[in-house]
Amino acid sequence: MRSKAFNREGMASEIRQISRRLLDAGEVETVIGYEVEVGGCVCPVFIDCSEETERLIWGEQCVHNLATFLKKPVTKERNKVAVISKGCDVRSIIALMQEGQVVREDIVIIGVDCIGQRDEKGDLLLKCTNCRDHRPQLHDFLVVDAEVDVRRFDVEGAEYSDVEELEEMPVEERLGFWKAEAEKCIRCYACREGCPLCYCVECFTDQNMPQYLPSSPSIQGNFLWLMMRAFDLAGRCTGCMECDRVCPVNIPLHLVNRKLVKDVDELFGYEAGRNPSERPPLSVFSEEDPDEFIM
Amino acid sequence: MAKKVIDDECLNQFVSLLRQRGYTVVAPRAEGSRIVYGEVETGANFLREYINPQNSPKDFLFPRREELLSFTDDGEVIAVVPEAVKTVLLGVRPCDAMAVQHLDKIFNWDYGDIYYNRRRRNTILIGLACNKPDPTCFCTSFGNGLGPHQKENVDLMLTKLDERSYLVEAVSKTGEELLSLIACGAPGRPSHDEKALKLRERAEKMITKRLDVDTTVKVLDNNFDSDYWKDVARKCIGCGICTYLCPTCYCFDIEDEGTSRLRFWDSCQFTVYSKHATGHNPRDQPYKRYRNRVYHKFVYFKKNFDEVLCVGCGRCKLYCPMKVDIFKIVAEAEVNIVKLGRGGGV
Amino acid sequence: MGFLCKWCSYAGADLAGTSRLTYPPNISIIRVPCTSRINSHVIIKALATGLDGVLVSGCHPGSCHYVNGNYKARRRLLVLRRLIEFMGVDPRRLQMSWVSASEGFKWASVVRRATEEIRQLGPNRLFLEGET
Repeated sequence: MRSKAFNREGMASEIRQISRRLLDAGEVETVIGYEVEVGGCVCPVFIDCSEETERLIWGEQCVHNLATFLKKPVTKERNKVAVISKGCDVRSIIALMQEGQVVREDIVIIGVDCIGQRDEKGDLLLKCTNCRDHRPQLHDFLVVDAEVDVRRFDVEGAEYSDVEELEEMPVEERLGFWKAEAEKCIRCYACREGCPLCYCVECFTDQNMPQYLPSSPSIQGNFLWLMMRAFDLAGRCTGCMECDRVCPVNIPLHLVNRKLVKDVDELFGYEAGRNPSERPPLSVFSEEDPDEFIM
Repeated sequence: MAKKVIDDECLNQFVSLLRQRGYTVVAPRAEGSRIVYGEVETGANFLREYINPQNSPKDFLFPRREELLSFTDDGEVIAVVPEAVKTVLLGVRPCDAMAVQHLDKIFNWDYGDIYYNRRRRNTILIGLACNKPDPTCFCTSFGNGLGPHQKENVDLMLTKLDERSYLVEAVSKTGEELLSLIACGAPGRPSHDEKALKLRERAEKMITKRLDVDTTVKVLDNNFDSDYWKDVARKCIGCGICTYLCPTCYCFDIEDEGTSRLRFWDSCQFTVYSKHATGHNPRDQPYKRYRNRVYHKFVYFKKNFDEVLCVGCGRCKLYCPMKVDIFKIVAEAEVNIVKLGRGGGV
Repeated sequence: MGFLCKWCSYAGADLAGTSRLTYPPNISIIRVPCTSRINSHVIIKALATGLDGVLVSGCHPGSCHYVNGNYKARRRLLVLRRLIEFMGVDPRRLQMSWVSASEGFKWASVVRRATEEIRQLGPNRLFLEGET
């Protein structure tokens, strides 16, 4: 069952062709891409042989960041993996490369031009409204979309109006806002598991000597979870907004993670996931870092 | 079975009446873009049209986080048993009502859980029959009478007959007492039953997903070590959404916070769930954890209680970030395991 | 709560003590080998669970016993202050200072200043009884 959204058949066909070639030649053992599952929704799929490549699709609801699977042991166990990647997904891959989590030679990036993805209601995703990565920066293959408008590559800078809106609130009101969101949290950790950059073998939440935050879903504990994870992502988050998408209770996690993306850009002129050999800003320092706040 | 036919206004009045009598009424409400069970103040602000709320009755009988006891610095222990807050859960679908039955068994299995039981004793279930099941639903497969109009597990059952009227049927003694409180409405007649039956048959036909549970359980039981499990859920990212939203998942962890001992939901999908104090982890890989979920629902519970724990509500797939489909995985197990045996792929 | 690096600030605070300098008793000091050892999560936990303020004090830039620990801590706190502010905690509750081993007077004045600033912000009660 296919909806009108899946209208980029030419590109899908190319994706299948590339995948078939790679699998038949034994260059990769698995291709990670998108398919339409029986209920009609797009979701990730792991393809291990040529015959199965028919399942691969491309369209406007390929929202999932497949780079997140590259942090998982299931992919590391296979010798070589090919992954279908949009521009935003490739940034996650580059960010993983920056941190030594992905070896470039071990993966094949099937880059796909993307003019924007839509949610289940058909609305353009927030991150797509000001995208500067319609064409994946890094790729082994590129599936071109004839509609990708060259002009759109000239978008000035990233957009943060929703973060700024929250920044303009008085401090107490902001606290109230985040407490209300923290109350909804059920500590399912989908935000963590869906994030390509959350790859710690033992998450700090599972440590109990010392215990950094309570495990139970109290408002205070959840508030701490939101803050602590945001801090661990400072300077590493690429703004893919998967955290926001996967959250079952609709906590606007992207606001706090992108706030730090904005700050890191302002303070250090740095964006994660652009240059594989750049060091994330919180792993380095400058002698000229601002210190007006220091007595 | 005593029955009445009421209209929407009468339903509103009934809710007010329950509140006047000291019940907390909980029903599906819109919260942002979600539909969740929450306390309602008037009959006017609960939903009439919905498939199923995101959360389930489990939230009110076995809350996400509850205090079991507290202790003072001198070592005095104070057991904290939940107050007897009389609650009415209104608009419970048959799948969720069956789930409560399963939870009743679990929380009274090897010991009687006083926390659960206290809440359960003080909770009344008013069911709402499904006239329009969701494509993700598969409640009719379980062979225990579960279906979109099943009445057995609630106290009072509502069936929406048309735009303006509900058939209200008393199922339990409590239900009869409640029904007698409803002053408005008209007595139920055979024509209402016929209408309800037609709606039921239509709803049952809409559920196209069917599983042969007995075969499934046998296949699963015989193929625990199959490679099928290694590949079938590779897109699972290992979060806890399925377990936390599932109306029958009941695992919990206990920790002390300050001077309180709390219990709160835990998920077998987390890596550390089965990690031993020695460091050994029998379910150290994602596929083992996913397999555990399937087996707990379809094999282990069946062996201990003679019923499958899954109720086919579809929430796990609906809210899964990667749309992992437990129905598909289990329904296609036999075919795929045979294929694997012959050297084919999944 | 104060996190003081053992080589500079802790020694400086010790000097303040032996010199019988007075400063407010509101600070509880934890000695760390270097300010870069401080896990930011601990600071977050301290501030979110009701501690009125946190003061991190280390060696002057260029004087760190471990060469550059204080630079890393400075960067971390720079980002951390913005984060806590965004989440609704006044960033003035998180303070930092450079105090060397010989700066007993400076230590006393740093604590006096920090205490006064934090006192003016009032008690840090973010969560009520039932929310913890």
